[in-house]
Amino acid sequence: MTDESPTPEPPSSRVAGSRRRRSAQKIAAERQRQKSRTLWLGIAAVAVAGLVVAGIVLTSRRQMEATAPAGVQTFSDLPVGHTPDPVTYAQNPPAGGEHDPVWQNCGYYAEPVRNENAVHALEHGAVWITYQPDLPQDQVAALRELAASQSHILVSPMDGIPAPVVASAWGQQLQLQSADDEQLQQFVRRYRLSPGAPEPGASCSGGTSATV
Amino acid sequence: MSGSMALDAPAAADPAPPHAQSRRWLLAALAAMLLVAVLAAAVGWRAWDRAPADDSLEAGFARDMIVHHDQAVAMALLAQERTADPAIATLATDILLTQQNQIGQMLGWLNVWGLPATGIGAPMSWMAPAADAGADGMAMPMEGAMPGMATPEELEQLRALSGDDFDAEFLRLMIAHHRGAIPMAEAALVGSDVPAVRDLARSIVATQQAEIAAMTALLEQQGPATPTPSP
Repeated sequence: MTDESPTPEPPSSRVAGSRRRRSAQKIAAERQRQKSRTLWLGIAAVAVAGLVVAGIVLTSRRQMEATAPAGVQTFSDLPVGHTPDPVTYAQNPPAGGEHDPVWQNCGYYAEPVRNENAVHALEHGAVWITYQPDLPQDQVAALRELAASQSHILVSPMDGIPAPVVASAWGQQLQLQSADDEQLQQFVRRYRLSPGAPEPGASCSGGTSATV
Repeated sequence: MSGSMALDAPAAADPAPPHAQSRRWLLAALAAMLLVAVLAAAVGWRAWDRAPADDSLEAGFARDMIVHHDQAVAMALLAQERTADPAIATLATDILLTQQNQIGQMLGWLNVWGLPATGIGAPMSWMAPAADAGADGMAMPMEGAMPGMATPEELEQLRALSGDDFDAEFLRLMIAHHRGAIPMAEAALVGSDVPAVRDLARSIVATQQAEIAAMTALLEQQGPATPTPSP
């Protein structure tokens, strides 16, 4: 820092000159005050902005990158128990709940599978795509290809479902008018092996491949 | 600061005597330095905490290797059920436990990185930058199909076999499967600087090479009638 010389002293005897000088000093002081106020406001603004940015950077949590498609229905607090008995599910097709001790092996099925086994596959993080038996063959072929391209995708026909194609994951469900709807890909991306399933990543093989 | 206090009245009335002004500048400089330090700490923390992006090599490797490993687990589960050979049963158990564990590791990374297990690109597209350099007609030969994966037809055929035939076909498919995993893991070793990814990729290369040797020996014990698959 530079060292300062004392402010020049106005001789008190020369009143008029002193007054003029004082008013000049006042103007200069006012100017100086404004200048430093602007400086401080600037510094404060930058500081606040900087702290806000730092705060956002430090506190932001990682969010799941994939967004759920519009129209997904969510069901919470589904029980995870095992039972060998038939289960009446609250959703059609089932989207989770009590299930058979044996899980359905993932992949494509041309015949319906047992709900209680399929729900166990949902527990392992599978996406279960059910289709109405009269779905056009090219759409069925597309679903079959989808099941072959990934792990943890179960495809099976089902009577009486509320839309031509219904995609389900544990606690999540989406009705689709067609297998070509891009929302199906979005659903698979968002929910296949997602942490929302009770046991994501547990094998979707080594169970049963039985149909009903 | 060494300036002496100006004692006379007019100067004292001045709101910004030079020494006070320089103190302000010092304060401003300190505030600015503090601010820069806080920002640098925040950016540094984020950089240290950086996670691979949705279209990164790391995410692509994890996603495809999960699917690849999942098929090995499925085949090993089938072998446990079908084989009468204790050596093959033990090998199958080893493969299934190891690869199921590695599936869990990779799914865990994706979870921590905030990424879904399903990517937007075709399988193997994370290895495409190298393949893209090829001729136009042959661009990305790997994309869409993972090396060494058994086809649904091959798996169907395997399920229909039993006894020595099953053992031989299982070993052939698993050797091809392991041979496919190695270039994927090598690509991750070349392209990633994430320690966890590199450690797992290195482990896959080493252990699957060793298992290929063990399976080739088992296949040879089966007799000369069963040829080993070409690489």
